[in-house]
Amino acid sequence: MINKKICMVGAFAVGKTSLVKQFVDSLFSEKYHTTIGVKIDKKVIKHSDKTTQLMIWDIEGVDAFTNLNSSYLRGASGILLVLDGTRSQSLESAKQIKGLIKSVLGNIPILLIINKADLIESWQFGLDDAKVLEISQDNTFITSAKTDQNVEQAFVRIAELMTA
Amino acid sequence: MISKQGKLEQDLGGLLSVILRQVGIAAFKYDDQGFFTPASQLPKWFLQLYNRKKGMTSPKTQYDLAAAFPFVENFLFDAKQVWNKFETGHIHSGLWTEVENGEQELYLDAVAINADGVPILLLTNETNNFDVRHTVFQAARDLALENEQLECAIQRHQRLLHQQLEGICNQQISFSEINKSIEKEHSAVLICRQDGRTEVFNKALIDIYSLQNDKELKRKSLLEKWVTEAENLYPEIHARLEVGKHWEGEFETSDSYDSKKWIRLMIAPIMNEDEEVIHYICIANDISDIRVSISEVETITQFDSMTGLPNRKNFWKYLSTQIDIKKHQGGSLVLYYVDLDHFKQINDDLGPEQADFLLNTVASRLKQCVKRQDYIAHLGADEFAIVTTEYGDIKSYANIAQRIIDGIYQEVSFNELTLNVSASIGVAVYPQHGLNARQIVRSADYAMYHAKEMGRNQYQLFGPSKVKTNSQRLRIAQGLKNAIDNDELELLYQPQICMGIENIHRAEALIRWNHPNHGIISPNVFIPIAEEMGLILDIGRWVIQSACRELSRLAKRNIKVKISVNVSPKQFKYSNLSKDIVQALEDFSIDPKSLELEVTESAFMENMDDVIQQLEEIRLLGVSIALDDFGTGYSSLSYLKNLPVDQLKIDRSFISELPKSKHSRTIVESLIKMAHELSIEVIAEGVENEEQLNYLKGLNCDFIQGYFFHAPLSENELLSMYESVTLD
Repeated sequence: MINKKICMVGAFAVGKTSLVKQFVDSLFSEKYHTTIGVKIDKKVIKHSDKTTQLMIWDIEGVDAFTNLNSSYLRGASGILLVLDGTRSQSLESAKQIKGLIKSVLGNIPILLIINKADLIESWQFGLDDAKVLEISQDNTFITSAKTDQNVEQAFVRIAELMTA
Repeated sequence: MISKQGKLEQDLGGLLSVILRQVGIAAFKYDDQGFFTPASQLPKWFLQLYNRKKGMTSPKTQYDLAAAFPFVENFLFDAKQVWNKFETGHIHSGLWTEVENGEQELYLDAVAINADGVPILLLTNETNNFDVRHTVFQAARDLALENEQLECAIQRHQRLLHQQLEGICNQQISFSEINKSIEKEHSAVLICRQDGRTEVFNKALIDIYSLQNDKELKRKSLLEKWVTEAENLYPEIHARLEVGKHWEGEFETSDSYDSKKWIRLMIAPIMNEDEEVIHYICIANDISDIRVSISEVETITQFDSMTGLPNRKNFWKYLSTQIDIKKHQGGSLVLYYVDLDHFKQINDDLGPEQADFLLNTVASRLKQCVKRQDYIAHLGADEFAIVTTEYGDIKSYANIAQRIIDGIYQEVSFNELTLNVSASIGVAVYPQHGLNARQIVRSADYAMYHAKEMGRNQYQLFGPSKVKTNSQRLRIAQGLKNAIDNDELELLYQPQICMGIENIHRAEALIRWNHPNHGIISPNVFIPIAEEMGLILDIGRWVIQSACRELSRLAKRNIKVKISVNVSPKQFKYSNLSKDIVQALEDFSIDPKSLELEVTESAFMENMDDVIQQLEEIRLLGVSIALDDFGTGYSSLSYLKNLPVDQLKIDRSFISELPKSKHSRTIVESLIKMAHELSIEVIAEGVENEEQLNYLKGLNCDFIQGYFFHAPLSENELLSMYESVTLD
């Protein structure tokens, strides 16, 4: 079995923890419970003919008084850069975070997750706007932690990219 | 020489181990193989968590923390950076979450410490403090989220309104018709010509600018005012408008009463067929309320939840802002850097809850000591800062500092006892003592340090001499850490000559530091620094070991001598002195009667009963005890009978005045007489001439030490001297 570290990064309140909770425990809560620091979860997934244990680092979101601690990214084989479709501010944060990831980790697989697909009527930006992040369509997922839309698919995709 | 690991175990084995266990900290020493050895008894929470992780229940001597905790494995990289440096330091990992029994979450923090070259890792359980921190961050982020949504709603509305107005304008509908369509609009609307002359506006705009009537607005070019106000934050605004581009932004504006407001403004050009700007559609919303709550969010995170005072982050921001203001407006400000005396001891003795109570009490008292407009911050632990921005002279700074000291130094009643808490204060003034926040804080810190040195419970105003003293101290402290390993310390031996008929040979071991760059440094200079930094424990052990080695060397030459070594009060308090002595005696197979400890009266000051007990244990080994520097400071003849001492050393300050000073004669005569009545032998130190010698002989003083007979001798000189005389 292959072990791989992936990091969930993005602005605060975009749903990083909810995505992990849905993926690992199949649970979702409407209540926003902010993360402080880091929480690490593990899940074994099978994809193609491989088995990979994902070590998922759910990292505190970025806001006016919390920067992304780059040392948490060390050793990561893949990144899930999470946005909240209903908040254009999360796109602005993502631009800065991607720059930091590039400078710390170089060219490692990055998946763009635009979360809260269940609120798509309230979205403030779309896939076209997200092109500014220069992440290919293949590696962009519109997800909903609430309805479980595309959650597993996104984690499987990052596993494939990391083990390719 | 004792290995670093041995020293560590001895140091941590006592008091520190108890403290760590009580506060629930798991402390480890890291070894080169990647394992962690406990440096104290491990707390229950850790053992449960680790055993669950590794599936083991039996106690282990080495812990594989990297395997058990991936977070720690990742942190090791940063930790090693600290451990591999040639200086003490530490780094925090930041919080991480572990789940206990699949439900309960533990919030942990790791701290890597370089303790004089020894790699230490502390794991602290922050679960009890987590709720407060989480509540603060949750509230701040909830508020930030709400603001973000409000701002987005305004932005969406402005864009929608712009589309509608642009459509209307392009249909070349008259301005009076446009006026009708915008008069009830909540967003402020202004349509103006390219040169800024007003065409149409609505009531919402009049409201934002608190205008008395619409004529006032017609006279002014709001466009020009906006561009001027916005360009500080958005220098590109001119260029964009000139080329007919759309612009949006948020900035501070002032209304007709000069009151400040924050607005969100959109300016969109309307072009003619020749692509020339003919009008601008401007849409504005007052977002002052949102801005206020953004500032509230910042405030929440910049206050210390325990004392309610601004925290360190807020302090730096405030001080920098105030200095910037003074730079532009002129004037001075004063920083009072307040550090409570002996807070650590209070914290250790009374526990964290009582220590928090004390900090709250101090915070309340500080508020009463200064004016309402003065600024007070709690920088963390026992440090507070006060900033006053009113002009004053030295006398006024001194008055305020004294008022703070007096205010703090009042009784604090705990459950079972009452304490007087004192503080040391450093005072620094902008611009005299620094031109930026960092320099001012450093100056105040130097001054505070000086106040501590001068005896605490006082204030000191910054002066250049304090920098020099502190720089020198830092250099010494840095060098001392390596002095033992680099073999820079040396013992010299000053013989004590027996005045009786028995030919007893004695010598006092005196430490010297041969610094590679600064030459010989006096123990008067480096011992106080070593005591302050805790290095005295290592140095003390080295002295005992070295003296025993010399005794062994002399014994092999059949030279029978007693060597006395000086011990610091800190060795009684923080090390296992008896164990150190037994170790050294065994290491060199020394007769305990050959060794003597010299203790000063100050050793008895803090915990007399404990020190007496330790000395009695040491005496039982056969090691004798001398009371050093007797007659200075705290001397009390009445308590001498209660102390387990065999020798009494009269301080050189009395000897130097013999036999001329009647005062000194009276004291020395009384001391010798009384000591003999208690069967205690007397050693006079600092004897430099025959007159002094003869006088002391006449008083039946037992031993004489001083330059009249011998200066301190090196090991070889001592050996030669004894070999040249007939020995028993």
